[in-house]
Amino acid sequence: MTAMTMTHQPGMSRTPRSGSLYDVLELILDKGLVIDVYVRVSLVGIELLTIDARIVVASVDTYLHFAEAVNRLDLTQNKDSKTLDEFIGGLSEQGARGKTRGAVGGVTGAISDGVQRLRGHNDDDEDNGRQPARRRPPADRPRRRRPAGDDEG
Amino acid sequence: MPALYVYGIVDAAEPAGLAELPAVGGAPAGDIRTVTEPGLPMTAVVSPAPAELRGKRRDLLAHQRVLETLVEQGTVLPMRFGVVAPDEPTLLAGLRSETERYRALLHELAGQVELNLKAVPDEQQFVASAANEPAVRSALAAARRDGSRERQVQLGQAVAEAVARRRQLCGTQLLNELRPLASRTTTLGSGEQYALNAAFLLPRSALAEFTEAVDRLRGQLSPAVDLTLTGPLPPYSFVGN
Repeated sequence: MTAMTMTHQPGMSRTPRSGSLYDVLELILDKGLVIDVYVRVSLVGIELLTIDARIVVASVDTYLHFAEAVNRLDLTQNKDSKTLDEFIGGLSEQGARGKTRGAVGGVTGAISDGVQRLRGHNDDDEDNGRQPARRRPPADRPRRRRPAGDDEG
Repeated sequence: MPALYVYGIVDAAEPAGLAELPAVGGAPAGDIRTVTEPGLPMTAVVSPAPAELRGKRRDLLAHQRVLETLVEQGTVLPMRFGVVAPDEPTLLAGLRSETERYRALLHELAGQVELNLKAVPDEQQFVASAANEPAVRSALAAARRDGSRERQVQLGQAVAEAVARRRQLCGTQLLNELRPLASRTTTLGSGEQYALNAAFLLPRSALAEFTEAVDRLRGQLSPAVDLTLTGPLPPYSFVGN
């Protein structure tokens, strides 16, 4: 997960618009009609763009990032997720596994099994200023004091 | 004969508004024209192909802008970026050999447009929700008892999995809400940055209703998920291949 945007965008965004090309990039590059053998398809130079749009980072760095994120939570004050919990409704671990496996397309699998690690340019990461967790010294992060008694799961 | 960059295939004989648009890799205006022949019930929209086709932002925008202009006027089969015909006779031969298929597609897509919805999860909200899961709680307790890197990695993995499950659930829920409002729906290669990345095909007349439904969901999901609805687009995701 890379995006942390809080922007609200009521209605529809009209394309093309400066900054919105990203939203249709994969459609332009991956979808659309390709005429048969009579037509030469030339794709010089756009390889990198498509790779950028598909980065899957599943690594120790990702896990450490998530560990840090959950460590920062104040679990005694954890009301943050109410909106989400209500929307996805009645989530139990067992039920969730049964209901969602394969429904949208193996995201859990991608995280567990993924080995692809591409360094360098990534639009999403740039947008959010996120860096791999290990580059960040722990002191950079304001940590909430751990409340007593949150150790019991 | 020069090679031709192909933008799309339309049912209209003479689409308007192309003269002032910049071409892919070419002149700022005046390069875009149509190709058809008597008896062919469709028209290809083309411009002289650049010597070397790059995926530059300017080129992608030019491609998109031409197709947007076309979709406003009628039905269009949008080409994927980068389709180049070696010359005009070859392009026409391609259209002739696939006339029935393109005609059927044009008929099927008449009056319909594509909307793209991206649901971007807010990391903090998803992590907070994941932290309610027993597996995450116990991994957290273990990591706090024993501060080793290995425990932290295990904790992070438990969180990542719980977050991914929530992302899937959220995406499925969104699809369930919106699918009934569209004539066709397809999910796009998701990647982990989205809870849902989907294309919806719907008649222009249904745009307002769909947009309202998305607005309602946006209100309901804020701030846990940000919904970006883009369109109306040419039906990129519904022309098959």
